[in-house]
Amino acid sequence: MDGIHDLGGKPSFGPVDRSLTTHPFEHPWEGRVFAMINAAGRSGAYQNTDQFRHAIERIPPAYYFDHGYFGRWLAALELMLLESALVSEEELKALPERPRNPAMSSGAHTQQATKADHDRQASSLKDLLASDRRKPRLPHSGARFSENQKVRTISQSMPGHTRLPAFARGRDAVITDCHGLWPFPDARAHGLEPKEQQLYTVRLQRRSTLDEGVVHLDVFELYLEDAS
Amino acid sequence: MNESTNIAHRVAALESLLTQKGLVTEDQLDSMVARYEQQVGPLNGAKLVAKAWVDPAFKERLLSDATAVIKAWDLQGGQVDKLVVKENTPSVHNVVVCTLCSCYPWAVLGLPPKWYKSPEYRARVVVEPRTVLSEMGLDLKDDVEIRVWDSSAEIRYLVLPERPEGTTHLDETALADLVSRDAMIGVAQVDTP
Repeated sequence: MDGIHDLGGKPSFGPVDRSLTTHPFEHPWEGRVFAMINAAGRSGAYQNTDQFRHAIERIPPAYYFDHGYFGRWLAALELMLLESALVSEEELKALPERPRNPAMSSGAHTQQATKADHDRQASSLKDLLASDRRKPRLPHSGARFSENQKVRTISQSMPGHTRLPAFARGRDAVITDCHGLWPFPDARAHGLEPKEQQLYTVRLQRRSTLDEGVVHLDVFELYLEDAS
Repeated sequence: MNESTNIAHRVAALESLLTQKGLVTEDQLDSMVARYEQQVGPLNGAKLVAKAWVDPAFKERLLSDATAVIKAWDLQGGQVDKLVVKENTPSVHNVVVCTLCSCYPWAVLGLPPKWYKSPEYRARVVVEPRTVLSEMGLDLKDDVEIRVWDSSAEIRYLVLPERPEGTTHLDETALADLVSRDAMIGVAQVDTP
């Protein structure tokens, strides 16, 4: 989904502050949140990392930077605890210092939003798969692309979870590595199919000779079109 | 009360709620925190780099299948279903980012530093890597190609820095001491001691 989390290439950010603490947890509460996310996953609060990442993406933009990185983890944890019914709306409301997170304004609202999110993603995946079925595959690997092949990334965004960043959409690229089948985040975050997709590393074509570097990223097959 | 105190109260209350419900235990959380504060860190990555510098056959294995190497070394810590190592040379410099969240090879580098997760780094290094690296203290020659690796799936990346000049007398342990976490992310080089 388009969102504040998709930061690559977004303008107006200043210098990187490397003096920021290098300790994994700046405050003790951050370590507790880190550990609770891991433990809550084992207790059924979420099924996979993609679902967790998507919970972070659904934090309203105004809240995304509020308490830093582990503040986002906390908001996502609370959202997933509510959605999985491990914790009730009343129990969350009773906690001190409720953060401003309208995504969790009510349990009913959250459930409706989750259902709508799921349905939109299902419909988009169906469209992508329909156009994919008409395209040829390589005989041995079952993959559609091979190393050095020219491709183009899709230009549409997904309404739900996706791992194709906005800056890398609609770009000419070359396959530099083929990784075989990997769990497909766009489907898994929503409990949808297909659970797996071929994964590739691609090198994005430079847009100008002034580009300061060559960007590579890992993309799933449904994000790619043949451009050879 | 400042903001961090406020949120600390909330986290403590949530922890006791989840403990009462039997969803987490205090021991479980304590050991998880201790593990990532004390055991899993960039030393694992530094040992891989130092060995690659002294052992050409090992370096070849590391560059062709780092996942097999870390399995053989039994490096625990997660986030390395597949590890890919990218080698810096006099003409190519590699740098790693995760623009969508904070993907990072925990088992070889520990948890990511705060700047790696910062919006400034995530937004800018895919667009103006040379400028960002220079601001961070790494000035690369104009003819060095910068390759940026955005960790957008489950592949994790580690940079193999160049071995600094004047280190032929050092053994693997002493070499590992020179290798910084930032050099293995690609925002620094390893300097001659």
